Amino acid sequence: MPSANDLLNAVLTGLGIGGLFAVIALGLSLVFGVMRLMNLVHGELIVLGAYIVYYLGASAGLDPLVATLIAAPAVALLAYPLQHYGLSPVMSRGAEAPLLITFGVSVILQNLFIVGFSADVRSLNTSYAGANFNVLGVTMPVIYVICLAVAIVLLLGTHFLLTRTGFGRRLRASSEDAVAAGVMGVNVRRVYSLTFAFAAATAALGGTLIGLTFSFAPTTGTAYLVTGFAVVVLGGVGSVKGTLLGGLMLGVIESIGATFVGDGWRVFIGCIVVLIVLSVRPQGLFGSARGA
Amino acid sequence: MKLSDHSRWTRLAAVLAIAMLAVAVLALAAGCGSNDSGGGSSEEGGEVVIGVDASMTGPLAGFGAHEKWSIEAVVADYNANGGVTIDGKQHQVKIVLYDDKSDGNVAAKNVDTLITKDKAIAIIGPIVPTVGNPAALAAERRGVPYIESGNPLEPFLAVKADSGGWKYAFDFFVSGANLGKSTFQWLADYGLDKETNMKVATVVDNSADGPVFDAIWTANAESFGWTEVEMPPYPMNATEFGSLITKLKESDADYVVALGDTPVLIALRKQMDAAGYKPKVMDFARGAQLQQFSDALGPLAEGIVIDSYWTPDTGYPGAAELGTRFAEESDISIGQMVGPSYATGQILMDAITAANSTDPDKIVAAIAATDGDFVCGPIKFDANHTATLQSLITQWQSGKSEIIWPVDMATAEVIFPLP
Repeated sequence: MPSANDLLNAVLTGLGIGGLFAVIALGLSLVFGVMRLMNLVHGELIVLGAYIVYYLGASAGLDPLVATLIAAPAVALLAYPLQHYGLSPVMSRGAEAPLLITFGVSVILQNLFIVGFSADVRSLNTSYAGANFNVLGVTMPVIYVICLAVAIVLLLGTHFLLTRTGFGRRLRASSEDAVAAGVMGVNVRRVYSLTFAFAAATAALGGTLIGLTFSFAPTTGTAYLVTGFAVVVLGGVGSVKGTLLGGLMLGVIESIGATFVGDGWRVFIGCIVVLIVLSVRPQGLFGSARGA
Repeated sequence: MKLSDHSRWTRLAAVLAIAMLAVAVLALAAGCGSNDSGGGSSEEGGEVVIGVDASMTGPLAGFGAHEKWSIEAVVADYNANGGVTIDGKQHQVKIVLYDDKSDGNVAAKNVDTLITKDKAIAIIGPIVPTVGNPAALAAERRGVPYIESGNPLEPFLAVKADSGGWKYAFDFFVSGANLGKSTFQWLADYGLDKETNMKVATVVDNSADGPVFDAIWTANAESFGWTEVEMPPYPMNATEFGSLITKLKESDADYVVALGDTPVLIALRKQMDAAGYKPKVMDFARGAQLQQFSDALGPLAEGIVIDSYWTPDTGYPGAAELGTRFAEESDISIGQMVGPSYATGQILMDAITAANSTDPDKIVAAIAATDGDFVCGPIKFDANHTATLQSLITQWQSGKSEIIWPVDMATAEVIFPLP
């Protein structure tokens, strides 16, 4: 039976991992909430961000978190035309076409990564990635604190963007009713593209945190795409608060569950939690119920 | 022109454009989907195809890259000398390679395709039992000679243990029994076991060789006087080890031995460091032998010990030259499978020439009769179609994998305890 200390350790580390989950999922939640698009290229944007940070570190000696300030806008700049010219023209024709396009781009990017960067596993190494400190008798890795802090800052910032800025108003309007928003003078296509770019930037940030905490390779993105969707479903589509709390909840529950039954059951426990939430509250914990 | 006529022509043009694009893509895919290498036909005979399945992507991609280079190198060497001899005529060898994406199901399908579509007369299999065993079974079902290295002998033998053993497939590698023994023998030989608390924590994944290593480490821990603390196995694609690391800390073991793929062991080492957990010795099997493991971890890889079998410094005939050649011709770092992979090509092509035939049974008989010194050491197959390589213990030191055991083959001093 785990001790109280073990459980406290699980909660604290779970919050850190959950913060990482939230960062990964934010972009997915926004794109799906605004455009009703399951962005299957999100995982590869995460990995792309990690690679850019990796090579900025290798060539210019930049700290990964500093390099992210370059990588995130770079990934956003690549994502904008993908949405604006690749996805927007087909979005009015149903969900299938954009879904397939993102799937195709995902496959292309994976192969480009292999060709360009090789299939080798990479990792981002810094002194603070391996540091730790003691809190309430628990050894807390610094990297998990960083993940949690980044998640809170990012999601608060996103909440501010959505609720206190003109772009946020236009985004919410486009999400509620794109046609009506268009009639009211909102350039919906541009809002969609900027949202997609913003989501890509957050994905790049997630890639940095993944590289610092774990490792990455050309095909790593798919696993984190699945995790991101789990958080989106849990927290509620399009809900920033839901994404943060959903991510934290998933991280903590997985960690506590692993404490009882082992790390090998983490994914299983996470899936069970998602299924339970879906069955009880299909719109997610903080999503709004929509009429049929 | 009526609007409907215009629409019809537009649709027809669109269909034709899509069809042409599809044909172009398929043609490109056919050219890129398999990796052909090897010479053209000689004046004496046509090409013979040797099929290769390798893990070029996925967590085992590091092994696949080394295997591909080695096979291409050995085929080029043989082709430069006329290739293989069949029915008294020399034939150039053509390699057709497919990527199994580190997936056993894909490996089996690739072998089927190599045999049925590409008409391969023999197969060189991938590395690691997860992909090697399904590939070997696929070749066995088709009655086509198959040879591999990188699959510990016990998992390979276990597949056919209850059905009469292998008839067409061969494997040469370290035996799990020797690997398990060397995991503890090296510490005893250096007297370093006395500087620990003689507690070892064993960690395996749920791969095909996970239970094999688990059993072997348990048996050898006991025979060498260690107290074993067995950790629960973890899934092969695990990335989170919080619970495991907590248990490792509680075990108070000075020695941790773990089996896993490269990304997993990287994550485990990083999380151990972040959790402030550092035993005196760590032995990582399978995934830690690749240079990318050391490159990804940087200083965290220093001092980690690996259950090994080949480096260019082993002193085997041609090993050093192969290492030099690899460094000159390849832009990736060398790995332990370069030598054994090269030897699979040597053994197979020698066997084809010795058989003087493409008949599978004759080639199998020739492989079974192999008895010689190769770039990875002496190889002689037993009745079970296996041959044992010398187990080594290497240690990551300043980004290089140095031999530390057997003591008489050591290329560097032992780093103890972990820095």
